[in-house]
Amino acid sequence: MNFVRRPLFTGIILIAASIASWGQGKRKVIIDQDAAGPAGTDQTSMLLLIQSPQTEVLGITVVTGDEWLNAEVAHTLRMLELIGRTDIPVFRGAEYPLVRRKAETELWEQRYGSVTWLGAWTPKFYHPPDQLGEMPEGKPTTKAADEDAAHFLVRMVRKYPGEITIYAGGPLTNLALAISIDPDFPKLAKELIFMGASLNPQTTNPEFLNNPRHEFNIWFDPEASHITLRAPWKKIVCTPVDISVKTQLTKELIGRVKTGSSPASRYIADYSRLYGEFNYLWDELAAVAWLDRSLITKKETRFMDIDLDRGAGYGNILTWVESDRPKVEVQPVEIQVDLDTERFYKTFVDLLAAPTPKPH
Amino acid sequence: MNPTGKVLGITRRQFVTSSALAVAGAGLAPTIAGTEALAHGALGPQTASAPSRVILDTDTGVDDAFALLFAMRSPELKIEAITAVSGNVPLELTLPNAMRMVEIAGRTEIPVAAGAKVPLLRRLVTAEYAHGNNGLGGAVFPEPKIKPVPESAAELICKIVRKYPGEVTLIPVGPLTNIAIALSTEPDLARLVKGIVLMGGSLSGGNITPAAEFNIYVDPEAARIVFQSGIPITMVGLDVTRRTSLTDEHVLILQASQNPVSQAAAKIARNAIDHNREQGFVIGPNMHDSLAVAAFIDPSILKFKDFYVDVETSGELTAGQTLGYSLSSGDLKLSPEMEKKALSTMEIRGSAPTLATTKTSPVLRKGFVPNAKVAVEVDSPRFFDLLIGRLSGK
Repeated sequence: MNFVRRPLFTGIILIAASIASWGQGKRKVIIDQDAAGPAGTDQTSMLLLIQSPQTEVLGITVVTGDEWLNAEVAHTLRMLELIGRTDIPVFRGAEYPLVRRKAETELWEQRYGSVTWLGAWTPKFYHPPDQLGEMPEGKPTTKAADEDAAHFLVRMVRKYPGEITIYAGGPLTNLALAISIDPDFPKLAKELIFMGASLNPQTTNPEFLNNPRHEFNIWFDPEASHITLRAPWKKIVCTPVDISVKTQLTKELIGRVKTGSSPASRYIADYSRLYGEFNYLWDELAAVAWLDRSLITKKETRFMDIDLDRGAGYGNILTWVESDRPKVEVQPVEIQVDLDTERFYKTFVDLLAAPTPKPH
Repeated sequence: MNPTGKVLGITRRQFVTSSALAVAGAGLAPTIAGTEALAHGALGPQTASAPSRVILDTDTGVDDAFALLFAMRSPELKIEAITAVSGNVPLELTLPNAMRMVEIAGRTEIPVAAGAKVPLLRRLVTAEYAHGNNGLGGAVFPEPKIKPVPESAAELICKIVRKYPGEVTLIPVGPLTNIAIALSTEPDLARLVKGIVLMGGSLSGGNITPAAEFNIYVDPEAARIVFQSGIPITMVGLDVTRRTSLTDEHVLILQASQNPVSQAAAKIARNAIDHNREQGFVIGPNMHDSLAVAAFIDPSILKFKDFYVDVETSGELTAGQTLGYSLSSGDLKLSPEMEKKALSTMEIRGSAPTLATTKTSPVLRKGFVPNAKVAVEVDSPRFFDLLIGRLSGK
C-alpha cells in the first residue's frame, strides 16, 4: 500500500507542504525523550514521528524520567530494531536531573504529601539505575552512539541552523545542558515542541486534583525546565496536561491499531497495556499535533516559568499573560487548548498502520 | 623541586575509610607523622618521575594566572588540558587570559577549551573589583596567537577522562559549571575521574557574602552536582586560602629572575597589589588558586579534615554556602572509643521544621560518609617557597 497516495493523509501533506516546503525535503526533528517501554506513551510517540513520511528523525536523545536512562536506551534501541530503523542514532543523555535527587524528594514528600508519579523513582516499579527492568520485547543487540545527547543536540543545530525541531517528551535536562554548553542552541533550532506543564486541567485524576500546577516532566527537573523555558527559542509549543486529559488510549483504539500489519502496529499490539482508568495519550498528541497542526482547534499564548523555591510549590508551573507578565526574559509559549479528537485518533491509527518509511 | 609528593596509592574506598584518623589529626597544631600521611596524599602525584594527569579548569583572573603558570612549571603534573569558564570575569576574557598564560609558559602543546559562558541557571556575577577589568589586575599582555580547540570544555574533559580512566585529577579553580556539565552529560564519567582538587567554598564564612565563597556563590547548583558526584574531593577553601596574601617581597623575587614566566608573574602581581592598594585593601591578593595546585603537588603543606560537604542552593541570603558536616561540628567531644559508633549513626540534618511541616527536623542522611577532605590549616611560608620558587625558577 502506498502511504502517500492515501486520501486520508492529503490534509497532513498539505500542511507539511506549507510549513516545511515539502519539495525541499523532510522536516528535520530530534526526539528528546524519557523513553520508557515497551510501547506506552514514550515509545509510541517516537514511533509516530518515525512513521510519518514527512519527517527526518536525525536522532533520539534519551533522558531519565519515566524510567532510568539505561533502561530507556535499551527499550528505544529494541523498538528501532523491531521496526527496522536502526539507522536512527540513539544518544545517552542525563541519568539524573540537574539538582533534584531521590533522597531529597522523599523528604519533600514527608512534608508536603506524596507525589503520584515519580517516574524512575516510583517505589512500585523501582530498580537501580544500572539495571534494565523487564524487557518483554527482548534485549537489543544494537548500541547507543558514543556522543552524549547534549553535544549531539548542539552539533546538529549548528549543522542545520534554523531547520531542526526539538521535540521533547520528557524532563528537559538534556536541553538545559545543551543550552549551558552553547547559549545559542535555542536560537539555532527551528522550534521547541514539548509535552509538559499543567495549568488548570479539568479532570478527576488525583494526580492533578489538588495541585493542578504540578506536572511530572517539569517537576522532575525544575531547574532544567527553568533554563529551557527562559531561553530565547524562536518558538515554543506546549502540549499541557489540560489537553492530554481530553485524549484516551482505550481497548477499542488498540484494537484499531491491531488491524494493521506493519511492524509498528504489531509492536503496539504486542506491548500496549492499559493502566487504571487514566490512559492519556500524552506524548502521542504532542507528536501528532506537530505533524498536523490543524488537529489543534484552539490555542493560546502564555508566558511560562517554573517555581524554584524549595517549598511546597517546588517545580510548579508559573504562567502569565502579556498584561501581568514579569518584565524580564520570560518567553511566550503557544499552549494547545483543544483538539479534533476523532481526527487525532484516526491519524494515530493510520500512521501506525502504514509501512515504516525507509532510511534516508 | 620539592620532593614531598607522597607515594600513597590510595583507592577511592580508602579515601573514604581513612576518615577517622584524619579527623583525629586535623585541627591540632602538633602533628603525628602517621596521621599526617593519611590525612593527605590521597590525590597527590604518585611519584616524581611519573607525572600525574590533570585538567585545570579556570576563570582566569589574577590568582588563576598564577596557578596556571605555577602548574605549567611543575614537573609533577602532566597537564592534559586547560578549560576556561566565566567567573572572576566573563569567558570572553578568561579564555584569552588562559591562552596568554599558556604562551608565556611556552606550553602551547596544552589544549585550551572554551567552557560555559554563564552559570547553569543564575545570572553571572563577576569580580572585577578584585581582578581588574581585564581579569589580570590591569596587567596588559598581547593577544594570544593560539586558538582554543573546537570541543567544548565539558566535551574535552569527558574525552580525556575516558582516554585515561581512573588517572585524571580535575583541578577546578573557578565556578564549577564546566565540571557539572561534564558530569551531567556523561553519567558514568564520575567513576572514571580519579579525584577533584578544587579551590572554592569555606567552612568559616564567605567573601562575596558572609555565607559564600565566590566560586561556589557564582554557580551553587553546579557545585552541588560536583559535591554529590561521589568523586573524592579535596576542598581548598577560604579557610586556608585567606592566609596566602602576596607581598611586595614576593614581587621583588619574581622581578629578579629573568625567565619570562617569572617576569609575567611579577607584572601581574605588581598590578594586582597596586590595584588592591587603590581599592583600599591593606594586603595583596590571596593566592587562592595556586594553593589548590600546591595541595595537589605537595599535600604536606596543608592539613586536611574529612567532612560531608553540601551546598546551599535555595537560601535567600546564603546560596553558595558550603556546609561541612562532621562529628566535631557538634559542641561536645566524644571519647575515641565512642567516635566510630557515633560516626555510623550520625544524623545529617536540615533546617528545623516549621509548624506546617514535619514534627522532627529532617534527617538528610544517616551515618557519616565524608565526600571531601577539607584543608583546614596551611603552612604559608612553605607554600610561598614552593610557589615563588617554581615561578622564579629557583
